[in-house]
Amino acid sequence: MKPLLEVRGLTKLFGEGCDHCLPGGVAADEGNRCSRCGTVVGCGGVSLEVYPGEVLGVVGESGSGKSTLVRLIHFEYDATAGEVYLNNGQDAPRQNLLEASSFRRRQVRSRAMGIVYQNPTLGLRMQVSSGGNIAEKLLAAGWRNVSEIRRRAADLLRRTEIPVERMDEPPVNFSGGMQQRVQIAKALSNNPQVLLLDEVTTGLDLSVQARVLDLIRSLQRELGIAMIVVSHDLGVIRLLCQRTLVMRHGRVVESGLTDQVFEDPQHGYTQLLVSSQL
Amino acid sequence: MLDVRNLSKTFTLHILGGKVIEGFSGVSFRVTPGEFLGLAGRSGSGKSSVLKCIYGTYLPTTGETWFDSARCGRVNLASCAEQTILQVRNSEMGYVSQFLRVIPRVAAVDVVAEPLLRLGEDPAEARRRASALLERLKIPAKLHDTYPATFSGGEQQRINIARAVIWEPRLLLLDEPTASLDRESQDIVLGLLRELKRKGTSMIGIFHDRASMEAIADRVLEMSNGNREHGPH
Ligand SMILES: Nc1ncnc2c1ncn2[C@@H]1O[C@H](COP(=O)(O)OP(=O)(O)OP(=O)(O)O)[C@@H](O)[C@H]1O
Ligand SMILES: [Mg+2]
Ligand SMILES: [Zn+2]
Repeated sequence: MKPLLEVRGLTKLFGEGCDHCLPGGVAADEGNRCSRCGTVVGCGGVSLEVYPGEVLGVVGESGSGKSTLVRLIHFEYDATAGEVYLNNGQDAPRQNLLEASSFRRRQVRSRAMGIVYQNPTLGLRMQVSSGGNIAEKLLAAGWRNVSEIRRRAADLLRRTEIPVERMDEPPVNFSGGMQQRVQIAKALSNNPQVLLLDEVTTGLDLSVQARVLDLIRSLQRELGIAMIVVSHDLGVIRLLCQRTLVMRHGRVVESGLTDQVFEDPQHGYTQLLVSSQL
Repeated sequence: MLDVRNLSKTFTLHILGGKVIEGFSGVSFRVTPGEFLGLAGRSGSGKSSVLKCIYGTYLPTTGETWFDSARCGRVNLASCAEQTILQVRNSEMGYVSQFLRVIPRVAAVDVVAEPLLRLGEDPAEARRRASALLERLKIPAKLHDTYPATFSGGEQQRINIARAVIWEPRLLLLDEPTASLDRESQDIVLGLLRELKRKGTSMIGIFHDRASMEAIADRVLEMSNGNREHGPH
C-alpha cells in the first residue's frame, strides 16, 4: 500500500538563524530556541506518512511544534526545508509540493485538504453566515452552482448536527461546540483526502467534547478519510488514532503503533508524558 | 502458524534514572494451526508481556516472531512495518485482555459487531450475529443496546470475548479471558474457544485457574522455571 501523504525532513525555523544554529536550527538537546539569535525550531526535520483511511496522532506538550507541523502541511507557512507529497492517484506527476507554484499548492489545498483549528476564529469568518462559510470553501474547490452549494452546505450542517434552520446565522451566535462542528462541516465540504484536526476538542466542556469526538469517529467510519489528529489529550489520541508521533522541541522523538507508544514508550520524554497522565 | 524464537523483553525506565526491568527472556515456541498453547507461571513471570510482544503492543528487546500471514506472507512481527502489523491485526490476529477497553458511547452490540463491519460484513447481518453471540454468552437482550461502560466486570469481559471471537481470527491471544466469570460463563466461553479451535484458530492463552487451562490447552509453557515446556496431557 502506498502512503497518501508523505512528509520528509519538514523544517520550519522561526527567525533568521545564525552560525550557531543554521541550517537545521539548534540541536535537539539544546531545546528549540537558539541561545545566540533566538531563532526557534518550529518543526525540525519531521518525516511521516499517512496511509489511505488512516488516522495518525500527534502528541506533545504545548510548544512542541504540533500546530506548526499541521500548518506546514496545509501550506500556510513557507517551510525552511523539506518535502511534501500527496499521492492522490491522479495522474499528476509526483512532485514535492513545497517546490510547486503557489497556485498549485492552493489548488491541492482546496481540492484535497480540510483543516479544523482549535480556535474557530482561524477557521471561520465569525460574522458571515455558517452556510456562507461553507460556500466559500466550495467556491475555492471549483463549485459554481448556487443552489447546489446551498444544498451541500445544508447536508453538511445536518451531518454535523447543526439545525439547518440556523444555517443563515453567523458562527458568532453559536456555542464553542457548535462552532467546532461548523468548522468540521466546512472542512469536509470538498470531500478532502486528508483532514487535519488541530486540538479540536481542547477547551470544550466534557459533554461537548464527547459529541465532537463521536462525530469525528462516525465520519471516519463512514467516509474513511485519512486524518492527522493533533492533541495533547492522550485519551483523544488513544480513541482515534492507529499510529502516533510524539513531538518535543519541534522534533519527533518517538513514533509507533498508538498502543505501543502508550504502553511501552521508548523515549524518556514519552515515558514522562504517559506517566503524567495517570 | 507462529514461530517465536528467543524472545525477550526488558524495560528501560529513563524517568527512573535508566532503571532496567526484566520482563522475560529467552522464550521460544511454535504454535500450529488449531493448536492451543497455554502460558503458565508465577505472577510477574512475564506471561502478559509475551502476548503483548507478539501483538506489537510491546517492542521485543530480542527475538523474532514469525507469523504465517494469509495476507502478507511469512512475516516477522517483531521487525516488520507498522502497516503490516496493523493489517495483520485487522484481518488475522485478535487479542483479548482481562479488561474491556470500552469505546465510549457505543452500544454493546455495536462494539461486538465492529470487527465484522471492518471486514466488510453487511451491517444488519453483523448486528444480528453480534446479538446472537451475546445471547449465547448470557448477556440479557435488554443490555445489547446500552453502553458497556456501566456493565459489571463479568459482563464487560464477555463483551470483550465476543468482540474477539466473532470474526474468527486465525491467531487469538488470550490474557485471562475468564478471570471474572462465574463457572457457568466460564464453561460457555471455553465452549466458544473450543469451536474456534476446531475451525483452525491458533490460540495462546493465560488462565487464572489451572482447571480452565487444562480443559483447553494442548500444551502448557511454564514461564517461571526458565521457559520449560510440558508435553500434551
Ligand atoms: N510496561 C511496562 N513497563 C515496565 N515494566 C513492565 C511493564 N510491563 C510489565 N513490566 C514488568 O515486567 C515484568 C513482567 O510483567 P507481566 O505483566 O508480563 O507479568 P505477568 O506474568 O503477566 O504477571 P501477572 O500474572 O501478575 O499478571 C514485571 O516485573 C512487570 O512489573
Ligand atoms: Mg498478566
Ligand atoms: Zn542561532
